[in-house]
Amino acid sequence: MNIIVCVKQVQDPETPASQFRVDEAAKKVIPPPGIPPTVNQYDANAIEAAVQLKEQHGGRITVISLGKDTARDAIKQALSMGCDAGLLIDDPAFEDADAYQTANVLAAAIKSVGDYDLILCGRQASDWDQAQVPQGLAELLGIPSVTPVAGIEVTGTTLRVKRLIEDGYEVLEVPMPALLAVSNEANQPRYPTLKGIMAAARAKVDVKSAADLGVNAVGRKVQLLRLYVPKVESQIEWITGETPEEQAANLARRLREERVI
Amino acid sequence: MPPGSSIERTVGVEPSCSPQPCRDSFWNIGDERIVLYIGAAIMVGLLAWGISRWYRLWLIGKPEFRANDLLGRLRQMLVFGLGQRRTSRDAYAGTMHAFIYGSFVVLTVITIMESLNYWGHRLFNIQFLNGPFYLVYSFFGDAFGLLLLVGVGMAAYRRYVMKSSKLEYRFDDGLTLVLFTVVGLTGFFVEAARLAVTETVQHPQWAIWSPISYLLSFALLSLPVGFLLGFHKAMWMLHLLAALGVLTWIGYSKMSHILFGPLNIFFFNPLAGRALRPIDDFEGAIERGEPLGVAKLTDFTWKQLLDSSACIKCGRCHAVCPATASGKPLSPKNLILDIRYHLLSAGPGYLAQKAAGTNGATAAEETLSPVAPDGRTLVGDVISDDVLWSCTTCRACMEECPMFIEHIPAIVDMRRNLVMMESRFSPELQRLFNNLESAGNPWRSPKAQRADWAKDLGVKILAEAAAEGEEIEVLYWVGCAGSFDERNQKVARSFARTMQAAGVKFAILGREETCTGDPARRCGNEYLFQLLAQENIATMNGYNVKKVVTACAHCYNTIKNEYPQFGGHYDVMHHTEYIDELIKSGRIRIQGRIDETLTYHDPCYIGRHNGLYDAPREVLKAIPGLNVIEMPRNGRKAFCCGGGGGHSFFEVKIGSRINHLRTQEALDTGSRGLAAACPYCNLMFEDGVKVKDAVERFRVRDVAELIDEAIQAGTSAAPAGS
Amino acid sequence: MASGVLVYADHREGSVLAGTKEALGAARRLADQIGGPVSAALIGNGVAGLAQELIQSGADTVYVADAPALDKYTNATYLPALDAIVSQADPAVVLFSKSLVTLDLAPRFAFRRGVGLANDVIDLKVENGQVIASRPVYGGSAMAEVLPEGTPQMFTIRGKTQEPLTPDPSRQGNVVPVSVTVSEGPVKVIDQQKERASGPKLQDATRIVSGGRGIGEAKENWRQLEELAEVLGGAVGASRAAVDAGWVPTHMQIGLTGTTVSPDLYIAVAISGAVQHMAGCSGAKTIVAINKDPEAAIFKQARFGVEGDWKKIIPALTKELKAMM
Repeated sequence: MNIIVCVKQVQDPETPASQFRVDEAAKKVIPPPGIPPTVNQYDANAIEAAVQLKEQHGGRITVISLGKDTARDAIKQALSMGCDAGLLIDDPAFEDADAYQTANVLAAAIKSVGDYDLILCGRQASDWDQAQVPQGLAELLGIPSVTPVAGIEVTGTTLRVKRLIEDGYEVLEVPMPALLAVSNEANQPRYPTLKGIMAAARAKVDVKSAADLGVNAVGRKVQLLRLYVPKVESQIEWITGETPEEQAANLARRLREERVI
Repeated sequence: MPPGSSIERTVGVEPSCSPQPCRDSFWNIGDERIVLYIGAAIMVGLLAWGISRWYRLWLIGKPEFRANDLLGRLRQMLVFGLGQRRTSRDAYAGTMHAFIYGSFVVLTVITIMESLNYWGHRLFNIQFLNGPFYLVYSFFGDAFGLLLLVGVGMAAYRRYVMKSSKLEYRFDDGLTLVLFTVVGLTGFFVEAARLAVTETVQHPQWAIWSPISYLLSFALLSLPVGFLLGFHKAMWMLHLLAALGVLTWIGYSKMSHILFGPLNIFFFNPLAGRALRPIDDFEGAIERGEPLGVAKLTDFTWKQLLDSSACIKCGRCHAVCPATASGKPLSPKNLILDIRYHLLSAGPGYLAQKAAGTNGATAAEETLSPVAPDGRTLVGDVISDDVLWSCTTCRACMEECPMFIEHIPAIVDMRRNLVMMESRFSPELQRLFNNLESAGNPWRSPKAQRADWAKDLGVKILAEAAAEGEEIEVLYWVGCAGSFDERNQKVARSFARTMQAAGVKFAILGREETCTGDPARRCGNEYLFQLLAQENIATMNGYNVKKVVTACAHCYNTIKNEYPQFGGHYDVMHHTEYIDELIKSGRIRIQGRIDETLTYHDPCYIGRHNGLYDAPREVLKAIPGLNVIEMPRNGRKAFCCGGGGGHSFFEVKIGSRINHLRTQEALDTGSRGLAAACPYCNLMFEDGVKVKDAVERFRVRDVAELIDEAIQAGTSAAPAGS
Repeated sequence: MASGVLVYADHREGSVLAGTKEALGAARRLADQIGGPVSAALIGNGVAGLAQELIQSGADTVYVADAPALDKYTNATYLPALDAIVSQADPAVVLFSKSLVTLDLAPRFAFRRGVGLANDVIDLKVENGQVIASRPVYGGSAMAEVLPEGTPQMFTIRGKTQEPLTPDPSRQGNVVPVSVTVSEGPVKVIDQQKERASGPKLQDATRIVSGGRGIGEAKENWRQLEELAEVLGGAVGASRAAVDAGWVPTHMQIGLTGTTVSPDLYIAVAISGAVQHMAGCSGAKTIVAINKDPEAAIFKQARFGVEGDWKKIIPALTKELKAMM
């Protein structure tokens, strides 16, 4: 089974608000010093899902990432977890790509890799939260797609997919090849074994530019007009009291006074 | 009944050396001696085979060099092995053991002397068991025979009446006691039968030197001499066989501790547990397909396998283990014994593999498979993952073990395999590793904020001090908890203020400091530990750091005992030690008072692991008004707070919580608070006190906070006792 | 020429979702500025009866694609239906309300049309006849103003951020059946499992008690939150940390990737207030934060803050409110 996993390197989502800065003129987020970027969490779920499928059914996993040179670490992370090959598309022209551009570049990259049975992505990336690339990619490739996915089983050439719905999940039958966008409910990404870490450290990651893939100018479909940090003015009223009981009583009283209850 | 001539003797047998008192060796024993010689030969053969079997089993383990410092090793063997210094700590078991051990030694010597006496007489016509010496010899024989029976009686009482939960209850444990009892009783019957026929009547002044047998002989006096002679022979035979049985039994039961105990103590590594064994070549091991850590018996070193065979099942470790006490699946005793029984069942298969292993690839595959020849896996089947994760590495087991078994390294070695090879551990632990990797601290706090706690204190950052060419006395290693955890930041501030009050020129590393790696190492992530350790050592060596002080017991242990493995050699002091020194040298003057009664908790990593029991207590004693009362378990017996071995960051959700047990013990002292000396202890007790609903009446403070408070109270010139 | 605003009518089990009505409200306001009608795209099997409800909520025209093959949602079957409706209606703007269906449908549709889509927007405005949206990014740490290009412009609106119109039973509108030939797609729905909690649904609850990592694993701890919620007549939610730890089921998750809620009262218990979580509850009218850490981020957004141990405060508060209500 040939699986392709698309991953994105993102700013650590646990970056404290105090460290978060935006360059409003450039409409860019300034990377916080000393806090290394990480693999997008949902992408880690996608990697884990791929590795589990490989463990059950054999096959080969190729990891693709569009990003700067540092995104090599994200690919290495995937390799250390059990993926087989990595491809980094590093192209300054697509540094701030929108979903449309990203999906086009990834689609070209996937075509360059060759045959595949399954493409796995994270359901969305924790930086821009667009949740568009997986579905867009499937549309460009003309294959079935499902999001958000909480479980995958393979029977022959068919996938049995658990898709989240508002109050539970439904089970879908999806023919391969297909694209699934994985959610955090699907699994707990593994910590790589040392063997994996060592192998990933030695592995060579292919690096290509968009032009290498035959992608020429693809324009944006969404213009970014402004990026800023919203001001949150705290208007907190502290509820005090000598004892927890007194605090509780004071809180209840204030809620009543404010007609909240 | 007094000895008298009123009983008529039909046969009086005078010893050969009469009229002097002397030992008539092999009295009444003729050709039956052949049983002794053949029996002894068989015994020696069986014992040798039994021991050699163990020896071969140890050799399925990996090599490890343990022959350094032979004199020191000899010393520890003499003091703790033959000298029983540890065994004697437990009053009942120690006494019981001293009786059995002492009598075993003395009675063996006595038996050998008897033999020598016989052969001396026969070959050279020399007898040394004569006169008063013989009488004293007889007395020793009787007295230690009695001690043996008392000791065995105590053991039986403990086993079958007290039913101590520490013990194993297997068939062979009972058989050991039966053998000893038979040896003791038949010994008395042999002597009593001899006396009844000889000395009791003719030479009661001699016989009285065997007091027990002498008394026993009166019960036999009425029996016909012919019967007595037969009875004597039968008892002698039984005694002989039982004694040979005991000696043979050494090769096949827990009695092997007689040999393996001292051997194990001889090879004990005094740094075991506090300085874990480094893995030298990760890459090479991976390339060669060698496992990291321990997945199967053959991954242990020979010494670890010797450990498992030296266990006497005394259960002292079981009785002190906080995991056991809190209902977690780990019992150090069961762990070691599980390894032993697994070694016995799977070891021969490994030996057979080894013998056939030179031919072909299958052998190589077999060495990689975690499934043992008996079809089970060491980790998983024999020892469950939960057992391994239950350990807080508090060292209580190792501190108590009379055989000096090294439990912690064995546990961490198996954790290493789970983490680095299998990637099998809790998500919480994964979070810990990820955070240590990306942020250099367990909570993923930003590196840039590492010195924020000290912002308004005017504390020097070492990089700044170095740039200004300023000399410092000591580097204050703050640690992650002191740097980022709100509760422990207060401790860091107190300690910094204390050093400032003493005029100490110190600096901190600030953002250049990262976790020492202690939690990673204890949780089996040796690779991550080494990355962190090397980073810190490079930083400190870059500044030519000589002296380090830290308020974290774990950082203290790791920098002091483990960093030397990677070229980091520093004079490391714990803050309690350092404050003690500052007080004693007069640099700190405490003018305030704290009129309170507190109890002190010994952190495992300065106490048991590093023997630092006095300095913290000295510091507390130096605070006027402060009254320290001890918990029942203190010093080397102190019960863990529950936070070590990575347990501050993950939880084995089985049984009760260790910190709640220890907090209750502290509350039960009736004191108004607790002094601790480790950030994890501080957090564990804070939590415990909250759960026990005792926040208002019981305060948890670090020793540094108390000192700071006392100093501040003095400078604010508050009237004493206010 | 394209004009007006089309709203995708999202429905479950025979009811129009609240978010769709909010989107109709937003559509009405946009249409007032850019001109053109407000229409709705209603796709499903036996759903034609919902058209009236959509009209009452602000739709002038409802395009209905009703076919047995559209009984269960899959993007393979719904995409052609929506495509046909959009071709027929020719709107300048298409609005979706954020749900687990539109998460699947909207992006793929935008790519099929080759136009831009702005997902998860919380505010819409018109400049030079074009719609510009605000959407939180970086988990809410930053706000982006974006302009999707192409016709129609497409947006997915975060729930509870737009006011629905007051339903007007007297409103009149057209219902236009759209015939689409839909064959069964490659993807089949073969099973459905519900993990529903008792009490009001989280997104409908007006009062929510929510627990975080600090609540811990113990069932009795969560029971305490449930008791408070019962007294308030509300529901219990949780942060992603608590869900990921496996302490509570997924459907209780509030946050960027869980349910978005905007109750009148939101009591956050032992929740630190990570941006991902706040994205799901920032619409709450009154946030009460109970946390032992006074520095916790949650206090920055809370109206009332209680510093202390929830284990003591919650039972006391439950008792207090029981007496009061």
